[in-house]
Amino acid sequence: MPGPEHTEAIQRASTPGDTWEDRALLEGVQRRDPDALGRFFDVAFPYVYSVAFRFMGNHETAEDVAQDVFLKVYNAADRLDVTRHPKPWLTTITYNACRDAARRVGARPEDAVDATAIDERHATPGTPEDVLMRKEQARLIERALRDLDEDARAIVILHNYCGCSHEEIAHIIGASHAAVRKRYSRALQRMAVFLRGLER
Amino acid sequence: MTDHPGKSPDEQELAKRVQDLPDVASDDAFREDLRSRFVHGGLESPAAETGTYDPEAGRRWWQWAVPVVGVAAAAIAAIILLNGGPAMHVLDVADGSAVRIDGAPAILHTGQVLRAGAEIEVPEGERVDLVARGVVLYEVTGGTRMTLPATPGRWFNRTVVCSVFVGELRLKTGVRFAGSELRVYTPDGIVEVTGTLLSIQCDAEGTCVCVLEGTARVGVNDDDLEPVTPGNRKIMLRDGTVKIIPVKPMHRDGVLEFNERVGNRLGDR
Repeated sequence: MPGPEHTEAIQRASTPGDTWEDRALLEGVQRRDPDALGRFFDVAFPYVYSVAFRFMGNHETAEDVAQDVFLKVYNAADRLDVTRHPKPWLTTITYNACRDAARRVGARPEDAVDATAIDERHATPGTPEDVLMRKEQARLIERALRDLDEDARAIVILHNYCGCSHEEIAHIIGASHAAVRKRYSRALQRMAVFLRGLER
Repeated sequence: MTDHPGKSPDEQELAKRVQDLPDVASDDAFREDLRSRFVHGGLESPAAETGTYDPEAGRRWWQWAVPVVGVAAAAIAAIILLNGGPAMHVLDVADGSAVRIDGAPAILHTGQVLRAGAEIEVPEGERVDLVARGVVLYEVTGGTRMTLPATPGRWFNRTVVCSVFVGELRLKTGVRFAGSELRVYTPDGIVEVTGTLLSIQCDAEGTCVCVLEGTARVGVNDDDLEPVTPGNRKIMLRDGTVKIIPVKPMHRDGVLEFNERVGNRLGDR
């Protein structure tokens, strides 16, 4: 079950007009109604693509992951539990697709992170300087994430970006709750060290 | 924002910075294409769409396993085909003999191939000779009801079975039968044939196995199979009598007549 952290993250990710929890929409997805599928895609795609990009570190593989995710969503649509928020389900599918893609390409995420990759359609308005600052900050975080090993990066992304609780992450990646907490803490420490080196 | 108890201020700040990461822009054309295919059910796995997507694909087990399995299956099929001995067919049949095959009336003709496992019933006064060329020759006499055995395989499946319910079956094995085994089940016992000329007679009193050449092992069940040598017969009567005694001329003459009539058509000379 999604925990309080998860609910908060969902609320954070929500935007006006967001229909994640619209039961009628989810029932339409379940029936594979084209209109419902289109609306669901509009809501889910930015999240799926962003998570995929943060895992994989390049657009080409992120696109493959996104395609894989939506194929799986389509195939499993009739098994969607309309009484629950779909985000944990979608997060698990996305994570598994990323793991599969990582095994296939057999490589770490690319080191080069394009700051222009940030989607300005979802960015907070501000002066050009604000936008530049946000891009720069995001770029540093992305680079720190790239520095982590795959499991540690997954835990940080799932916890902080996707809003999954440690318990949910333990279930998704198949590790113990304690191990997830420990790895998360170490990952943050490593990222902090890495960022201090960059920002010095 | 997600609460982060037990973390240093630096770590809390870092967690928040990850949390605040903006969405990542995708290629608009890709997004629209994906949306369209998602909505209309036209998506395929990326690996299936682009052969270059998966650099490991060439080493996936199924890519070499499929042809290997195919070749193996073809080889197995060829071996099974070659293993099968010659089909059993009708060597001779009295004109217009109306037998029953699997309970249905049938008119047999010379050269007709008969299915192993089929039940054949030959009426009184008729006779059917069957042969698996070079392997075994049968005379199914009038008044006999039995199931037809398969032809033993060349390399495996070398033991074949049949049942004689009533009547008399005469048989002679050929050189290509060597190493094979025919087990004939009657209501009263088992006959294990490994190379011989014999007859098996089965009636309401019991079963009598007359051996003229070679040796057959005969018994009420598997545990008491014993060899019956040429010139002897083993009787297994339903009153419990079981014994080996010399073949009577009346039994011998019928088998000899069978051998003289069609023995040279076994096809192993």
